[in-house]
Amino acid sequence: MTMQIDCEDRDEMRILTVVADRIDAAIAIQFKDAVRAATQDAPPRVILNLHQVSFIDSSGLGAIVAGMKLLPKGTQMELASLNEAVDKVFRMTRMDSVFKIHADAAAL
Amino acid sequence: MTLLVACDPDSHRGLGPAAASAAEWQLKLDGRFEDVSATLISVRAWLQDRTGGHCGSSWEMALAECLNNIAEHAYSDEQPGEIDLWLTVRCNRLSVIIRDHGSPMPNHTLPQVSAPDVSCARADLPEGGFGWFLIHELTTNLRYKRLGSENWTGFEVSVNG
Repeated sequence: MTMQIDCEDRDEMRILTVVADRIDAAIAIQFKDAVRAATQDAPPRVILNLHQVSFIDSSGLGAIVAGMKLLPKGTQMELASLNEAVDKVFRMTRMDSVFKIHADAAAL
Repeated sequence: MTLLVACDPDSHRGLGPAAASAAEWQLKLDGRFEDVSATLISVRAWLQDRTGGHCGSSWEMALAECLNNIAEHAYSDEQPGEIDLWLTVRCNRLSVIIRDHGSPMPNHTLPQVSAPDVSCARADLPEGGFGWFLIHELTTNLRYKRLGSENWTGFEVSVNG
């Protein structure tokens, strides 16, 4: 099982588009590895575009947090295009206070 | 003439073979993360059909956490096993009963957890421990029983958002 993440550098941002329907226990490790590989030389802002993701579980949430903690010093991780289910996980765990969340990746 | 139907009004609240036998749909899956994902996808399709496409996400979060917990802690990579799942939709709620043959819960009871602390420095943010918190928040009638060599877990969750 592989996790595909498409990267786009623009202005001072790197937009990582997760090409997967789920970030869950089955794929959490691959996701973490893919984010780390895509952010080693990241600019000051990394935006995780979750437009295609319809579901994350606590493992997926943990993998996103882990990905953020591995960012180079001075780089912030932000999130974009969370659907209702994904947004709910962040709100319930209060992780929406930890990440800047953009409603629409297309408007970045 | 009054027809009296003998029934146990609490059968859907219980745990064990009798409670399970009243369920609408029974599934079997391997206790591994990939099989949990595949099962949730099937259940989502079934629920969208049963609820006219408006089942929400709460049920999937609660069921994912419970099933992943069994895959990770009751079973293990070295000692995998099967999970039986019984599902019923009633009054905008999904009733779930789960059986596995893995290790028991510590102290044979459900863990009690509080909300994870996210007020700390970035480097100290928790990467886990959210599962049981989410289950407690999302479900009602959450219950667990060890019967012989079997774990029985049950709960109800909204299928209306």
